[in-house]
Amino acid sequence: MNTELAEWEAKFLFVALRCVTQFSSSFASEFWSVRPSVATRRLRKLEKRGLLKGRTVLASELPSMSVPLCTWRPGENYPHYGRISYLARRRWHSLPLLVKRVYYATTLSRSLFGRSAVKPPKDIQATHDVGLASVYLSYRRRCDKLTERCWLNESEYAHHRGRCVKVEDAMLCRDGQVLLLIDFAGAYRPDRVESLVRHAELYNVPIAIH
Amino acid sequence: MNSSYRYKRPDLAHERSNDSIHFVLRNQIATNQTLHQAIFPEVSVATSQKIISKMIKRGLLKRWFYYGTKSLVRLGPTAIARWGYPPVLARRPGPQVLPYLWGCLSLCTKSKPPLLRLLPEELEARFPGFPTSRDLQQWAFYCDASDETSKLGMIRVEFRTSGAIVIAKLCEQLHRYRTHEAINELFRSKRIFIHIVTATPEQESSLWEEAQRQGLGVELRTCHDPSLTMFL
Repeated sequence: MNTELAEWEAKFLFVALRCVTQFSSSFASEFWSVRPSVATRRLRKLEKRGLLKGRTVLASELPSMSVPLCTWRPGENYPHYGRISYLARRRWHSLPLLVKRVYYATTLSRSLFGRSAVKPPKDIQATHDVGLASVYLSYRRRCDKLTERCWLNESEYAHHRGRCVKVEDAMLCRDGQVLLLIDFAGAYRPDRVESLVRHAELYNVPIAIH
Repeated sequence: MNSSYRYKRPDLAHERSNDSIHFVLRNQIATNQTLHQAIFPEVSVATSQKIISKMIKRGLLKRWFYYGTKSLVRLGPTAIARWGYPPVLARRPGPQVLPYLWGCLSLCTKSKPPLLRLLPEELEARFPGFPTSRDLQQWAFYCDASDETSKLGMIRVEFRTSGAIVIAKLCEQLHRYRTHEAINELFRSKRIFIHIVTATPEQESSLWEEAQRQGLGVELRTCHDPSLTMFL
Protein backbone atom coordinates (compact mmCIF):
# COMPACT_ATOMS: atom_id res chain seq x y z
CA MET A 1 0.00 0.00 0.00
CA ASN A 2 1.45 3.37 -0.98
CA THR A 3 1.33 6.09 1.56
CA GLU A 4 2.57 9.63 1.67
CA LEU A 5 6.33 9.86 2.22
CA ALA A 6 6.99 10.43 5.90
CA GLU A 7 9.22 13.33 6.91
CA TRP A 8 12.05 11.00 7.95
CA GLU A 9 11.86 9.21 4.61
CA ALA A 10 11.91 12.47 2.67
CA LYS A 11 14.85 13.74 4.74
CA PHE A 12 16.80 10.55 4.19
CA LEU A 13 16.17 10.63 0.44
CA PHE A 14 17.33 14.24 0.33
CA VAL A 15 20.57 13.25 2.08
CA ALA A 16 20.94 10.24 -0.23
CA LEU A 17 20.96 12.43 -3.30
CA ARG A 18 22.58 15.61 -2.00
CA CYS A 19 25.21 14.44 0.47
CA VAL A 20 26.21 10.93 -0.52
CA THR A 21 26.30 8.92 -3.72
CA GLN A 22 26.10 5.31 -2.59
CA PHE A 23 25.64 4.01 0.90
CA SER A 24 25.19 0.75 2.75
CA SER A 25 22.50 -0.26 5.23
CA SER A 26 24.85 0.54 8.13
CA PHE A 27 24.77 4.19 6.99
CA ALA A 28 20.98 4.15 7.07
CA SER A 29 21.00 2.40 10.42
CA GLU A 30 23.17 5.10 11.97
CA PHE A 31 21.35 7.92 10.20
CA TRP A 32 17.98 6.82 11.53
CA SER A 33 19.45 5.51 14.83
CA VAL A 34 17.66 2.19 14.40
CA ARG A 35 18.69 -1.46 14.42
CA PRO A 36 20.29 -2.71 11.16
CA SER A 37 17.35 -5.02 10.49
CA VAL A 38 14.91 -2.09 10.73
CA ALA A 39 17.10 0.03 8.45
CA THR A 40 17.26 -2.77 5.88
CA ARG A 41 13.47 -3.12 5.96
CA ARG A 42 13.00 0.61 5.47
CA LEU A 43 15.51 0.66 2.62
CA ARG A 44 13.72 -2.23 0.92
CA LYS A 45 10.44 -0.33 1.22
CA LEU A 46 11.96 2.72 -0.48
CA GLU A 47 13.52 0.45 -3.08
CA LYS A 48 10.15 -1.12 -3.80
CA ARG A 49 8.67 2.29 -4.45
CA GLY A 50 11.41 3.01 -6.97
CA LEU A 51 13.02 5.75 -4.91
CA LEU A 52 16.24 3.86 -4.15
CA LYS A 53 18.09 1.28 -6.16
CA GLY A 54 20.04 -1.42 -4.41
CA ARG A 55 22.68 -3.71 -5.84
CA THR A 56 25.28 -6.11 -4.60
CA VAL A 57 28.90 -5.15 -5.12
CA LEU A 58 32.35 -6.00 -3.84
CA ALA A 59 33.49 -3.27 -1.49
CA SER A 60 35.61 -2.62 1.56
CA GLU A 61 34.41 -0.54 4.44
CA LEU A 62 36.82 1.31 6.68
CA PRO A 63 36.12 1.52 10.37
CA SER A 64 34.53 4.78 11.54
CA MET A 65 36.73 7.75 10.61
CA SER A 66 36.35 10.61 13.02
CA VAL A 67 39.78 12.23 12.51
CA PRO A 68 41.05 13.25 9.06
CA LEU A 69 44.43 12.07 7.82
CA CYS A 70 45.37 15.65 7.15
CA THR A 71 43.85 19.08 7.57
CA TRP A 72 45.38 22.08 5.88
CA ARG A 73 44.43 25.74 6.11
CA PRO A 74 45.60 28.49 3.75
CA GLY A 75 48.72 30.16 5.15
CA GLU A 76 49.90 27.06 7.01
CA ASN A 77 52.99 25.06 6.03
CA TYR A 78 52.34 22.41 3.43
CA PRO A 79 51.85 18.94 4.93
CA HIS A 80 54.22 16.05 4.22
CA TYR A 81 52.56 14.60 1.13
CA GLY A 82 54.52 11.33 1.24
CA ARG A 83 53.46 10.62 4.82
CA ILE A 84 49.77 11.26 4.09
CA SER A 85 49.99 9.09 1.01
CA TYR A 86 51.58 6.31 3.08
CA LEU A 87 48.85 6.53 5.76
CA ALA A 88 46.11 6.54 3.13
CA ARG A 89 47.55 3.50 1.33
CA ARG A 90 48.42 1.49 4.43
CA ARG A 91 44.87 1.36 5.79
CA TRP A 92 43.60 -0.48 2.74
CA HIS A 93 46.17 -3.31 2.97
CA SER A 94 44.49 -5.43 5.61
CA LEU A 95 40.90 -4.74 4.58
CA PRO A 96 39.09 -7.59 2.85
CA LEU A 97 36.68 -7.06 -0.04
CA LEU A 98 33.19 -7.99 1.07
CA VAL A 99 30.00 -8.63 -0.79
CA LYS A 100 27.86 -5.67 0.22
CA ARG A 101 24.50 -4.33 -0.74
CA VAL A 102 24.74 -0.64 -1.58
CA TYR A 103 21.98 1.78 -2.47
CA TYR A 104 21.73 4.98 -4.44
CA ALA A 105 18.95 7.47 -5.19
CA THR A 106 17.12 6.79 -8.44
CA THR A 107 16.14 9.28 -11.12
CA LEU A 108 12.62 9.28 -9.67
CA SER A 109 13.77 10.45 -6.25
CA ARG A 110 16.14 12.97 -7.87
CA SER A 111 13.19 14.35 -9.84
CA LEU A 112 11.07 14.47 -6.71
CA PHE A 113 13.58 16.93 -5.29
CA GLY A 114 13.96 18.85 -8.54
CA ARG A 115 17.30 17.33 -9.57
CA SER A 116 18.14 16.22 -13.10
CA ALA A 117 18.93 12.61 -13.84
CA VAL A 118 22.56 11.50 -13.59
CA LYS A 119 24.31 8.34 -14.65
CA PRO A 120 24.06 5.58 -12.04
CA PRO A 121 27.27 5.24 -10.01
CA LYS A 122 29.72 2.55 -11.09
CA ASP A 123 30.33 -0.59 -9.05
CA ILE A 124 34.00 0.27 -8.80
CA GLN A 125 33.14 3.51 -6.93
CA ALA A 126 31.30 1.66 -4.18
CA THR A 127 34.21 1.50 -1.71
CA HIS A 128 34.92 5.20 -2.14
CA ASP A 129 31.25 6.22 -1.89
CA VAL A 130 30.58 4.09 1.18
CA GLY A 131 33.70 5.61 2.79
CA LEU A 132 32.54 9.14 1.97
CA ALA A 133 29.12 8.35 3.45
CA SER A 134 30.80 7.34 6.71
CA VAL A 135 32.82 10.60 6.66
CA TYR A 136 29.52 12.47 6.33
CA LEU A 137 28.17 10.61 9.33
CA SER A 138 31.27 11.41 11.37
CA TYR A 139 30.80 15.15 10.70
CA ARG A 140 27.13 14.83 11.52
CA ARG A 141 27.99 13.09 14.80
CA ARG A 142 30.47 15.80 15.77
CA CYS A 143 28.31 18.78 14.90
CA ASP A 144 24.60 18.87 15.69
CA LYS A 145 24.11 21.96 13.59
CA LEU A 146 25.37 20.25 10.45
CA THR A 147 22.27 19.87 8.34
CA GLU A 148 22.00 18.18 4.98
CA ARG A 149 21.96 21.64 3.43
CA CYS A 150 25.49 22.39 4.69
CA TRP A 151 27.05 19.37 2.98
CA LEU A 152 27.38 19.37 -0.79
CA ASN A 153 28.38 16.22 -2.60
CA GLU A 154 30.41 16.69 -5.78
CA SER A 155 27.47 15.53 -7.91
CA GLU A 156 25.69 18.75 -6.93
CA TYR A 157 28.28 21.12 -8.35
CA ALA A 158 30.90 19.22 -10.39
CA HIS A 159 29.12 19.97 -13.68
CA HIS A 160 29.63 23.71 -13.09
CA ARG A 161 33.41 23.31 -12.90
CA GLY A 162 33.89 22.23 -16.51
CA ARG A 163 35.98 19.41 -17.91
CA CYS A 164 39.41 18.33 -16.66
CA VAL A 165 39.15 20.46 -13.52
CA LYS A 166 39.91 18.96 -10.13
CA VAL A 167 36.82 18.39 -8.01
CA GLU A 168 36.98 17.40 -4.36
CA ASP A 169 34.49 14.84 -3.03
CA ALA A 170 32.37 17.20 -0.97
CA MET A 171 32.32 20.61 0.62
CA LEU A 172 30.92 22.12 3.75
CA CYS A 173 29.22 25.42 3.17
CA ARG A 174 27.01 27.90 4.93
CA ASP A 175 25.06 30.84 3.49
CA GLY A 176 26.64 30.30 0.10
CA GLN A 177 30.18 30.40 1.53
CA VAL A 178 32.50 27.39 1.30
CA LEU A 179 33.95 26.57 4.73
CA LEU A 180 35.84 23.35 4.07
CA LEU A 181 36.72 21.06 1.19
CA ILE A 182 36.54 17.36 1.99
CA ASP A 183 38.16 14.48 0.20
CA PHE A 184 38.08 10.80 0.95
CA ALA A 185 41.47 9.35 0.03
CA GLY A 186 41.83 6.06 -1.72
CA ALA A 187 45.33 4.68 -2.32
CA TYR A 188 46.56 8.16 -3.24
CA ARG A 189 50.10 8.80 -4.42
CA PRO A 190 51.94 11.81 -2.93
CA ASP A 191 51.44 13.91 -6.07
CA ARG A 192 47.68 13.40 -5.85
CA VAL A 193 47.67 14.59 -2.24
CA GLU A 194 49.72 17.60 -3.27
CA SER A 195 47.34 18.47 -6.10
CA LEU A 196 44.43 18.41 -3.64
CA VAL A 197 46.19 20.79 -1.28
CA ARG A 198 47.15 23.07 -4.19
CA HIS A 199 43.55 22.99 -5.33
CA ALA A 200 42.39 24.14 -1.88
CA GLU A 201 45.08 26.84 -1.89
CA LEU A 202 43.81 28.08 -5.25
CA TYR A 203 40.33 28.63 -3.80
CA ASN A 204 41.74 29.85 -0.45
CA VAL A 205 39.70 27.33 1.50
CA PRO A 206 40.80 24.76 4.14
CA ILE A 207 40.80 21.11 3.15
CA ALA A 208 40.39 17.91 5.14
CA ILE A 209 41.62 14.65 3.63
CA HIS A 210 40.10 11.57 5.21
CA MET B 1 -14.44 16.93 -22.13
CA ASN B 2 -16.04 19.10 -24.77
CA SER B 3 -16.03 22.76 -23.86
CA SER B 4 -19.23 23.52 -25.78
CA TYR B 5 -21.02 21.24 -23.33
CA ARG B 6 -23.32 23.11 -20.92
CA TYR B 7 -23.53 21.54 -17.50
CA LYS B 8 -26.94 21.73 -15.90
CA ARG B 9 -27.05 22.99 -12.36
CA PRO B 10 -28.38 20.23 -10.04
CA ASP B 11 -31.96 20.93 -8.95
CA LEU B 12 -32.41 18.88 -5.78
CA ALA B 13 -34.49 20.13 -2.87
CA HIS B 14 -31.47 20.58 -0.57
CA GLU B 15 -29.17 23.33 -1.66
CA ARG B 16 -26.14 21.75 -0.01
CA SER B 17 -26.68 18.53 -1.99
CA ASN B 18 -26.70 20.66 -5.13
CA ASP B 19 -23.53 22.40 -3.96
CA SER B 20 -21.84 19.06 -3.25
CA ILE B 21 -22.63 17.71 -6.69
CA HIS B 22 -21.50 20.94 -8.31
CA PHE B 23 -18.26 20.82 -6.29
CA VAL B 24 -17.55 17.27 -7.47
CA LEU B 25 -18.51 18.20 -11.03
CA ARG B 26 -16.13 21.17 -10.93
CA ASN B 27 -13.15 19.34 -9.44
CA GLN B 28 -13.97 15.91 -10.92
CA ILE B 29 -13.01 14.29 -7.61
CA ALA B 30 -13.52 15.13 -3.95
CA THR B 31 -12.76 13.63 -0.57
CA ASN B 32 -14.81 13.66 2.63
CA GLN B 33 -12.45 16.23 4.02
CA THR B 34 -12.58 18.63 1.07
CA LEU B 35 -16.38 18.39 0.86
CA HIS B 36 -16.58 19.09 4.57
CA GLN B 37 -14.31 22.12 4.27
CA ALA B 38 -15.93 23.53 1.16
CA ILE B 39 -19.62 22.74 1.57
CA PHE B 40 -20.41 21.88 5.18
CA PRO B 41 -17.92 23.82 7.33
CA GLU B 42 -20.65 24.56 9.91
CA VAL B 43 -21.39 20.90 10.74
CA SER B 44 -19.17 18.29 12.38
CA VAL B 45 -17.04 15.88 10.36
CA ALA B 46 -19.30 12.96 11.37
CA THR B 47 -22.41 14.78 10.17
CA SER B 48 -20.82 15.71 6.86
CA GLN B 49 -19.83 12.06 6.38
CA LYS B 50 -23.44 11.04 7.00
CA ILE B 51 -24.67 13.51 4.38
CA ILE B 52 -22.11 12.21 1.88
CA SER B 53 -23.07 8.59 2.65
CA LYS B 54 -26.73 9.40 2.00
CA MET B 55 -25.84 10.95 -1.35
CA ILE B 56 -23.82 7.85 -2.19
CA LYS B 57 -26.81 5.63 -1.31
CA ARG B 58 -29.00 7.70 -3.63
CA GLY B 59 -26.44 7.21 -6.43
CA LEU B 60 -25.71 10.91 -6.69
CA LEU B 61 -22.08 10.31 -5.71
CA LYS B 62 -19.92 7.21 -5.89
CA ARG B 63 -17.05 6.30 -3.62
CA TRP B 64 -13.88 4.85 -5.13
CA PHE B 65 -11.21 3.25 -3.01
CA TYR B 66 -7.54 3.50 -3.88
CA TYR B 67 -4.44 2.26 -2.05
CA GLY B 68 -6.56 0.10 0.21
CA THR B 69 -8.20 2.33 2.74
CA LYS B 70 -8.14 5.77 1.14
CA SER B 71 -11.16 6.86 -0.81
CA LEU B 72 -12.46 9.63 -3.00
CA VAL B 73 -15.87 10.43 -4.40
CA ARG B 74 -16.92 11.13 -7.96
CA LEU B 75 -20.31 11.66 -9.52
CA GLY B 76 -22.68 8.72 -9.24
CA PRO B 77 -24.77 7.05 -11.97
CA THR B 78 -27.99 8.80 -10.86
CA ALA B 79 -26.37 12.24 -11.22
CA ILE B 80 -25.01 11.33 -14.66
CA ALA B 81 -28.41 10.07 -15.86
CA ARG B 82 -30.45 12.86 -14.30
CA TRP B 83 -28.48 15.89 -15.47
CA GLY B 84 -26.78 14.32 -18.47
CA TYR B 85 -23.18 14.84 -17.36
CA PRO B 86 -20.43 13.07 -19.34
CA PRO B 87 -20.17 9.43 -18.12
CA VAL B 88 -16.38 9.78 -17.91
CA LEU B 89 -16.88 11.82 -14.74
CA ALA B 90 -18.32 8.75 -13.01
CA ARG B 91 -15.57 6.30 -13.95
CA ARG B 92 -12.64 5.25 -11.79
CA PRO B 93 -9.82 7.73 -12.41
CA GLY B 94 -6.79 6.07 -13.97
CA PRO B 95 -3.29 6.11 -12.48
CA GLN B 96 -2.15 8.97 -14.71
CA VAL B 97 -5.06 11.32 -14.26
CA LEU B 98 -5.60 10.71 -10.54
CA PRO B 99 -2.45 12.54 -9.34
CA TYR B 100 -3.35 15.43 -11.66
CA LEU B 101 -6.90 15.68 -10.32
CA TRP B 102 -5.58 15.28 -6.78
CA GLY B 103 -3.04 18.09 -7.26
CA CYS B 104 -5.69 20.41 -8.75
CA LEU B 105 -8.12 19.64 -5.92
CA SER B 106 -5.42 20.24 -3.34
CA LEU B 107 -4.46 23.58 -4.92
CA CYS B 108 -8.06 24.76 -5.22
CA THR B 109 -9.12 23.77 -1.71
CA LYS B 110 -5.98 24.61 0.27
CA SER B 111 -5.50 28.09 -1.20
CA LYS B 112 -6.83 31.02 0.77
CA PRO B 113 -9.37 32.06 -0.39
CA PRO B 114 -10.26 28.74 -2.11
CA LEU B 115 -9.86 28.82 -5.89
CA LEU B 116 -12.65 27.94 -8.26
CA ARG B 117 -11.60 25.54 -10.98
CA LEU B 118 -13.39 26.70 -14.10
CA LEU B 119 -15.93 24.56 -15.88
CA PRO B 120 -15.58 24.67 -19.68
CA GLU B 121 -18.62 26.94 -20.04
CA GLU B 122 -17.24 29.36 -17.44
CA LEU B 123 -13.92 29.43 -19.26
CA GLU B 124 -15.73 30.35 -22.47
CA ALA B 125 -17.78 33.01 -20.75
CA ARG B 126 -14.85 34.70 -18.98
CA PHE B 127 -12.28 34.35 -21.76
CA PRO B 128 -14.27 34.48 -25.03
CA GLY B 129 -12.67 32.80 -28.00
CA PHE B 130 -10.53 30.49 -25.85
CA PRO B 131 -9.76 27.49 -28.10
CA THR B 132 -11.40 24.14 -27.44
CA SER B 133 -8.65 21.93 -28.82
CA ARG B 134 -8.02 18.66 -27.03
CA ASP B 135 -4.48 19.44 -25.86
CA LEU B 136 -5.75 22.59 -24.14
CA GLN B 137 -8.74 20.89 -22.60
CA GLN B 138 -6.46 18.52 -20.70
CA TRP B 139 -5.44 21.42 -18.47
CA ALA B 140 -7.37 22.62 -15.47
CA PHE B 141 -7.98 26.35 -15.33
CA TYR B 142 -8.95 28.79 -12.66
CA CYS B 143 -9.63 32.46 -12.66
CA ASP B 144 -7.64 34.76 -10.41
CA ALA B 145 -9.68 37.90 -9.87
CA SER B 146 -7.62 39.20 -6.93
CA ASP B 147 -6.69 42.39 -8.82
CA GLU B 148 -8.70 44.49 -11.29
CA THR B 149 -8.03 42.33 -14.34
CA SER B 150 -9.06 38.73 -14.08
CA LYS B 151 -6.19 36.40 -14.95
CA LEU B 152 -6.35 32.86 -16.24
CA GLY B 153 -4.35 30.29 -14.30
CA MET B 154 -3.34 27.05 -15.99
CA ILE B 155 -2.72 24.33 -13.43
CA ARG B 156 0.00 21.77 -13.90
CA VAL B 157 0.90 18.99 -11.48
CA GLU B 158 4.53 17.85 -11.66
CA PHE B 159 6.27 15.67 -9.12
CA ARG B 160 7.96 12.92 -11.11
CA THR B 161 10.03 15.07 -13.45
CA SER B 162 12.97 17.35 -12.82
CA GLY B 163 12.51 21.12 -12.95
CA ALA B 164 14.61 21.45 -16.12
CA ILE B 165 12.45 19.02 -18.09
CA VAL B 166 9.18 20.52 -16.82
CA ILE B 167 10.17 24.04 -17.85
CA ALA B 168 11.57 22.92 -21.22
CA LYS B 169 8.32 21.10 -21.99
CA LEU B 170 6.28 24.08 -20.85
CA CYS B 171 8.24 26.48 -23.06
CA GLU B 172 7.61 24.23 -26.04
CA GLN B 173 3.89 23.88 -25.25
CA LEU B 174 3.37 27.57 -24.65
CA HIS B 175 5.11 28.36 -27.91
CA ARG B 176 2.60 26.07 -29.65
CA TYR B 177 -0.39 27.59 -27.85
CA ARG B 178 0.57 31.07 -28.96
CA THR B 179 -0.64 30.21 -32.44
CA HIS B 180 -4.18 30.62 -31.05
CA GLU B 181 -5.14 34.27 -31.31
CA ALA B 182 -7.15 34.33 -28.05
CA ILE B 183 -4.26 32.82 -26.06
CA ASN B 184 -1.71 35.07 -27.71
CA GLU B 185 -3.81 38.04 -26.65
CA LEU B 186 -3.83 36.76 -23.07
CA PHE B 187 -0.03 36.43 -23.20
CA ARG B 188 0.36 39.93 -24.60
CA SER B 189 -1.86 41.47 -21.92
CA LYS B 190 -0.16 39.32 -19.24
CA ARG B 191 -3.49 37.86 -18.20
CA ILE B 192 -2.33 34.27 -18.17
CA PHE B 193 -0.04 32.42 -15.77
CA ILE B 194 1.08 28.89 -14.99
CA HIS B 195 0.50 27.43 -11.54
CA ILE B 196 2.58 24.32 -10.89
CA VAL B 197 1.80 22.00 -8.00
CA THR B 198 4.80 19.91 -6.87
CA ALA B 199 5.43 17.49 -4.04
CA THR B 200 8.47 19.07 -2.37
CA PRO B 201 9.74 22.61 -1.74
CA GLU B 202 13.07 21.59 -3.32
CA GLN B 203 11.37 20.89 -6.63
CA GLU B 204 9.55 24.19 -6.33
CA SER B 205 12.84 26.08 -6.06
CA SER B 206 14.33 24.10 -8.94
CA LEU B 207 11.36 25.19 -11.08
CA TRP B 208 12.03 28.83 -10.28
CA GLU B 209 15.73 28.46 -11.09
CA GLU B 210 15.00 26.76 -14.38
CA ALA B 211 12.25 29.23 -15.32
CA GLN B 212 14.77 32.02 -14.86
CA ARG B 213 17.52 30.15 -16.72
CA GLN B 214 15.39 29.06 -19.67
CA GLY B 215 13.27 32.22 -19.82
CA LEU B 216 9.75 30.87 -19.42
CA GLY B 217 8.23 34.16 -20.55
CA VAL B 218 5.03 33.86 -18.55
CA GLU B 219 4.16 34.43 -14.92
CA LEU B 220 4.90 31.38 -12.81
CA ARG B 221 3.31 30.44 -9.50
CA THR B 222 4.17 27.33 -7.55
CA CYS B 223 3.03 25.49 -4.47
CA HIS B 224 3.74 22.08 -3.02
CA ASP B 225 1.61 19.34 -1.55
CA PRO B 226 3.53 16.47 0.11
CA SER B 227 0.47 14.20 -0.18
CA LEU B 228 1.30 13.80 -3.87
CA THR B 229 4.14 11.48 -2.84
CA MET B 230 1.59 8.72 -2.28
CA PHE B 231 1.32 8.41 -6.06
CA LEU B 232 5.00 7.53 -6.42
